[in-house]
Amino acid sequence: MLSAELYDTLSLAARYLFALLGVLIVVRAFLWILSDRSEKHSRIRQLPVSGCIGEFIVITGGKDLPEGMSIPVPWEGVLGSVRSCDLWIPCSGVHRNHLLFSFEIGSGMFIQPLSGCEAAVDSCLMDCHSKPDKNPLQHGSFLRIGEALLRLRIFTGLDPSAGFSNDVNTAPPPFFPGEYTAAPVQNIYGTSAFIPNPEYSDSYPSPVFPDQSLVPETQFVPDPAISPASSLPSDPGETNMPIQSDVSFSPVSLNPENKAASQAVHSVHNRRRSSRWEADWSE
Amino acid sequence: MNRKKKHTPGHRLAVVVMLFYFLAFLLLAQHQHSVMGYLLAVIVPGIIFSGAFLLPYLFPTDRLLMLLTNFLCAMGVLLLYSADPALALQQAVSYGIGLVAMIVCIYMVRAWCSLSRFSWILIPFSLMLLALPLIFGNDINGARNWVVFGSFSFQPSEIVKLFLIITLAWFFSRMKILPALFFLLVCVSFLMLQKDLGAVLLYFVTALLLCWAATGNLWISLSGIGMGTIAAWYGYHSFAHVRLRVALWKDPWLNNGTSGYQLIRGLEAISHGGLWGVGLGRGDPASIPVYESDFIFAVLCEQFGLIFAGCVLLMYVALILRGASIAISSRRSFHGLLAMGATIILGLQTFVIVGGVLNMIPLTGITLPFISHGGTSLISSMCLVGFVQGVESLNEENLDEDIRLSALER
Repeated sequence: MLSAELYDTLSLAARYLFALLGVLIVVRAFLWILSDRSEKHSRIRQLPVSGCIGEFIVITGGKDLPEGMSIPVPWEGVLGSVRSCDLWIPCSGVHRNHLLFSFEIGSGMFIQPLSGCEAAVDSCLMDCHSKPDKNPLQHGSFLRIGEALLRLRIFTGLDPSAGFSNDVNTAPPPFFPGEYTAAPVQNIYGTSAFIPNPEYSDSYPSPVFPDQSLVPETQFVPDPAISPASSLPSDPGETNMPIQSDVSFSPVSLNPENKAASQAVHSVHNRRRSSRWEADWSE
Repeated sequence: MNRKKKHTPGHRLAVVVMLFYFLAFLLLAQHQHSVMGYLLAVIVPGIIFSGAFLLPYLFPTDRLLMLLTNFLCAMGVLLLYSADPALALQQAVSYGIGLVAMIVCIYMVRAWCSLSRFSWILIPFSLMLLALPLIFGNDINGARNWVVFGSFSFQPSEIVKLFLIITLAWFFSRMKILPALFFLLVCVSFLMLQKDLGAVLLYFVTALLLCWAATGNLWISLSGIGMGTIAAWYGYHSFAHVRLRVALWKDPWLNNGTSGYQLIRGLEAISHGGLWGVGLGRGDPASIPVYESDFIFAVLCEQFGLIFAGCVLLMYVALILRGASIAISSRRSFHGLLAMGATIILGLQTFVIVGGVLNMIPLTGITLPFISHGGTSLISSMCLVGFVQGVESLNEENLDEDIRLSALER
């Protein structure tokens, strides 16, 4: 054991060492934080839609929502007309906080209108008393809130209704209904293991609205480069939800190298959203 | 996309932290002439090693957060061991229990989706806990916020703090503002009856900041600030010890230094330490009343100096920044608000007690997270870190899912 004098000397000498170690720990900790921050920014650049399950395409909207605009959809949040909402829909008839939404893999997107608010999912009107699990939005579903009509596009791999398989050797499900015919197709991986969902081989989703005033005036003309003619709705009696012909529903890929697909849905709001999201993600 | 490996800065930092505590406990063991010091010199670095390198094999956690938390907890054991080995042993046991509690909280956050239906049970359970001191509690230092059963005692407000965060995060994520504020009001009322004004301040400010983070509604926030101001004015005129604390803040040498003796001794200890400190194991912490709990920061300043104390404060800042970053990166509103609430409480608690010890603000009777002696306080602080770690583990899995989905497109 050390004598008291020797201990005092050691202790007095050690305080400089402890201070140095303390400074070293703090400096390393903050360097680590800065390193992670730059990695996060790099990740955002490489995966700009990371954290999203898909996007809403504006079919009709107000002056702040041009048709064809794409709005990235996060996994969960609040949809409303204020910028602090997770989904910002600046349109007449949309309340400050209009509804809650949440996406579940295998089920779809559930919405719950808040008190005093209403929304229509395809042909089903929902209010604050409706049960959210009754009518989830699927890929291609329409959402009417206020004067805005939106259509949901879910990213490949998250679309619950197409029977997504975790096997990477299996072709991804059709990104948009009608992309595949009834015949098995050669998938991009060279094998034809994937059998397309027959529900997607006939027509695009055609919601029937009980109230004809909800039917928008614009007509939906699918991009022939994507969907074969046989997939067009054939019954003129059905109420189709059209989209402008110059808006392509080419698949939006999480892969940033697939620029040809993503450019089709590039919009001013998209660019504005990117910078806003980068600002939101920055520390 | 390749993810940059994070283990390199973690390895070096962990080695530095382990070296620090090995040397510190070894030095103290020479001073205390106790085997416990040698054991702690091995056990504490071992715990730090386990937390930084072994725990991530169970689920992805934030290593920096784990290292900072373990550093601060071990600092509490070290300072208490330098003053009283018996207190250090209690703190070390609480540290071990806190680690287990943290892991349980991580699992709980990950499993919350299936446990959410039980969120309503937390409300009556919290109110029952807060009512316990009023029925079975003892008056300690002017507040009736402790429950003593024989040799076992605990502070219910420290446990209810966890339930408050969970409940508020759940309500705010569902945009149910009024039920959340009503629950807060009932909790604050119980605490006012207990005269635990430090906890009232923590609960209220945390709820206010969470509400603003969840809604972004400036009017609600301003209304909350207004109500808080009115409550503070009411507390000042209703409670004599509040008036005394404010008077001591203005002049610690009031009444010839008899009322402000604790504050004066703390300030003297800090000045005695100077920049570099008087040395580990030296100084006179026992001369500061309640040095092991409220004024542990003064003991730290005396023994290690202001430079090292500044580094410890910066570690708290790094911990808060990390927690906020994790909260912002979460995919679910509930998880984000939970992590944000935990971070706010830890940061607020640190600011309030350090500010009080340094006489920047009136002193309140709350503990310095992780460092102060107190089993309930340490375990609840570790649980708060567990919440943040749970959210981070989900964030990591979500990121891996994004990368996998992007690979699917190739």
